[in-house]
Amino acid sequence: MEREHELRMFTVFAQMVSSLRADSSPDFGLVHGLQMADRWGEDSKLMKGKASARPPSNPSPDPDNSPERISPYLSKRGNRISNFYNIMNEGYIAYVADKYDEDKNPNGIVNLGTSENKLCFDLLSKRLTQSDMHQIDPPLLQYPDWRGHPFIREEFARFFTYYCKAPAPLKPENVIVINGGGSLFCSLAAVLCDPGDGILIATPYYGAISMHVMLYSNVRLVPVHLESRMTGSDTRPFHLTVERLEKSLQDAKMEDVRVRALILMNPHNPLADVYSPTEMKDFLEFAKRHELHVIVDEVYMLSVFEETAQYHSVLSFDRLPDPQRTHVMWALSKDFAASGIRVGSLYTENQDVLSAVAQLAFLHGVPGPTQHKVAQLLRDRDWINQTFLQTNRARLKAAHKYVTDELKELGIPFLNRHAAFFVWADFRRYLKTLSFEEELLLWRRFVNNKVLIICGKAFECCEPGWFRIIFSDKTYRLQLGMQRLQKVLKEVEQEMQSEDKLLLSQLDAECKADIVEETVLHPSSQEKAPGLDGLIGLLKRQMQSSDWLQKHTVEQFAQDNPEVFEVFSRLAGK
Amino acid sequence: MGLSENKICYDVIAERVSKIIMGNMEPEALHYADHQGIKSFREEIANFLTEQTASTNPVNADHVIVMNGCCSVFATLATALFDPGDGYLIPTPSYCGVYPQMCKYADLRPVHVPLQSKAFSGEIHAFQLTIQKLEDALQIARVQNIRVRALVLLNPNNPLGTIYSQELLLGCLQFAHRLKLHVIIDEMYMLSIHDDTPFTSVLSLKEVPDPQRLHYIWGFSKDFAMGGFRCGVLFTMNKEVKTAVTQLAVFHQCPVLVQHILTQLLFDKDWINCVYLVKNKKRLGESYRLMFNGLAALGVPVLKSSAGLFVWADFRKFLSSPTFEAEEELWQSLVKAKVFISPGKSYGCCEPGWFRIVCSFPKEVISIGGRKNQATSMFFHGKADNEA
Repeated sequence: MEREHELRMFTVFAQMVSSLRADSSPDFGLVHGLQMADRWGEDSKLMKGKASARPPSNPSPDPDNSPERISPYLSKRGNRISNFYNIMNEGYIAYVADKYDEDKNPNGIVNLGTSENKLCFDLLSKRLTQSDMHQIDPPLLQYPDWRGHPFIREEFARFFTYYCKAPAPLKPENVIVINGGGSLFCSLAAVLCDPGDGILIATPYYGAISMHVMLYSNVRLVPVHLESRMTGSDTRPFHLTVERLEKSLQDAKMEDVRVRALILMNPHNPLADVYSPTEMKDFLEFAKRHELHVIVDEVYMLSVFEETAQYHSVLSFDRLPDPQRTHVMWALSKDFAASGIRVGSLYTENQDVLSAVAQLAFLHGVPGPTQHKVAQLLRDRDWINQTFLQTNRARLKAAHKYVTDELKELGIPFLNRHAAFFVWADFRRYLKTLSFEEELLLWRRFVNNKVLIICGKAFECCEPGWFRIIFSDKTYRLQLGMQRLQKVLKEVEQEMQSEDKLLLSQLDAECKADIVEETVLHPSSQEKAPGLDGLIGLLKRQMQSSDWLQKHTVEQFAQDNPEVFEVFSRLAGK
Repeated sequence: MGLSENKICYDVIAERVSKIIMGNMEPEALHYADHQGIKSFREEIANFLTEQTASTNPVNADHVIVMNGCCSVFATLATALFDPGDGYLIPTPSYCGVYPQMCKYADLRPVHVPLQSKAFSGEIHAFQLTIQKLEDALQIARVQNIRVRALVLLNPNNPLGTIYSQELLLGCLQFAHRLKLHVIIDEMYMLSIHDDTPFTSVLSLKEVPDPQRLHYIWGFSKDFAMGGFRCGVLFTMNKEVKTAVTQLAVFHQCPVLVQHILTQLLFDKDWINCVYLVKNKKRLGESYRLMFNGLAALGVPVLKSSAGLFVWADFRKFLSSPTFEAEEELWQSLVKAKVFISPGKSYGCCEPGWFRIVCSFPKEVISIGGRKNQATSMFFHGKADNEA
């Protein structure tokens, strides 16, 4: 029984090797001949093999060296911009072309990918259409102060003071209001960095930020890769620590990348983590040590729907380590479920940064009537506290429970958090092999089955298999979306099971053939050669299914067959 | 009177817009939308442009991108068409005092094509653009090692208020085609013509030599007096240019609410053609004549023009010396007298002493401005006399 298992594993391994040989140049250097094959133990290095290599740090192809498509009408810069690709865009375009509508397009794509809060339109539309919103004073039709009309900057300062629980009143002159969070990242990158500079950011992160800092300013994000596996003093998966920040900064320096800033998102997208004040202070101290600017994106600060999550804005701290280099962003897009209204703001004490951003702000203007509406909204504390926030949070909590219950039913692990609009879920067991290619295939299957969720690659996650699922939507859409996800997952499960059976039966047939070397030397003799990925997957599943490895270690083999081991070691060393 | 805004028809616009705003709100008004602008609005814009420009071929909504202002349109277009340090030809004086501001992201260099007040042989009037002048400017750019990628034209012109003839327009397009330059045409004042001079939009030309390199800009800020609404439009048939610009458009989106309001405004063709444009033309004409005559009475000649919200006035004889320093001095003293007008230097004018005065105000405001101007210029007149 054990011998059969041994033979089976070895045969799979040998096929993999020959598959590699078939693809590579003739002088691959692999050991030829049968003598070694039949007395090989496992290659322990191969068994501990990692998942596919880390993704490159920039999602777009390197445009200055090899653009995908060169247009003679555009400049080099124009071509770089044109070729910038992010999988989120592809998903969104597919969705826009085929939107689900209960009545008009029931077979359209259900969007559980775009982070928008669709739960509170009733409350917002009622408030935004009240008579105090409909004002067309002359100044509103005319060119404004590009930093935002004074009335709206005052309102934002008051709003932040109250909701961020600032220890002292915040000043309107430290506020700029422009058309959305994307424009804030874009203009900050332009004024804090030079082309080619880098900004540190922990992965996974909200992928669109790459585009925001790259398009105009050619600034790159320097990833601080976080893994799900907890090590050392980690208390949660994907745990950001100062050690990891330090290491990534050092690595960047070795590659001659000048890092100018750090981006922190709290609450986090896509993990929905809420950082503690201690953690935030540690990160800010790290930045201060290295004279890095810190861009703190608090766009989900009011969307924490569990009291126990204990959210604290950086603006609530008694003292910031480096106030001249701490820049806080917030927008109406998430907390007020109004992404289409395009209003975002920057709060910083650094007047140089404010003046520089103000120079660009006329390209990111907010219409006068919109400024009026937003100021009215922010001023209405009663409505915010008594009508909006309570109901919004309750609805978010219920929707979160619905989706997480469904995930539990399906046996899909996820990070259980209580903020923002999404759940970070682990679909690794549905990947035939742990690779981004497989992740993308799974993502495409979901989209083809008319449900959009976002794959981890779009967030530059270093591990394939993670997906972000939005829950801030009406129950009937969530239901339909989850059903469609489930359908695909069941199909994948069945396929994987039957593939295993097929491969195993093929291998059984081969085991019965008396010459293993044929398999090694003539892989093409098989009618349907399984792909390398499929073989690796099968090998892994075989490993998991028995304790053969535990019994047959390298050390054991060296002890049992010292001469063979010596020869093998020498050859493997080449 | 320095900022080019149309304050004449505020009452007409406000009344019409208020009616629209009172309507219901759709959910999509609060959601993320197509970066290039929602389809229904782009279709309405396409229809509007087709009609108002008398375009040869109907404008296709798929060739239209909507953004939050014409500055954004120019900035994104420039970023896509030019590399840092590249240049564009622009006849001056022109609204290019602000163009370098628009180049903050793009990092460009305007290459001036200077026009003069004295009409030379072959020219019909002062400050006229000719193809020869374009050639000369291009030559100078070459010597300075500036790679020129485009020609930028404002028609009607700001600050001159003049309109290009059909022949001149075609000549410019042919010149650009010969040199494989892009042509960016900004027709932001096309509906702000206060006399009966015929206006030829570039879109109405029967034969455009290089349609793939023609990019058209228009916006609501001037013609509809809604600079605060933030809405500008790019029309280009070049798919590759459109793709690149759409990528950047995410930072310059016109909010969906505003797009809805403006869709309804444009839809009301009766109001536009029979109420608004009629009143706007009449009132602009009145204000223009008031300003023209008022300045003439002060001894200030004005360039005869047909369009725009301003006049281009000759204050040269009030300068203590024919220099830009003297122009600045005059400007400062006018500011002290609480009259804010724009000096020619900020438009790249090569001759000191010219000023742009905005006249799109109700009559009362112009009179006050005129009186203040009178006092100050009499002071300078006196001064100039003394020094003569």
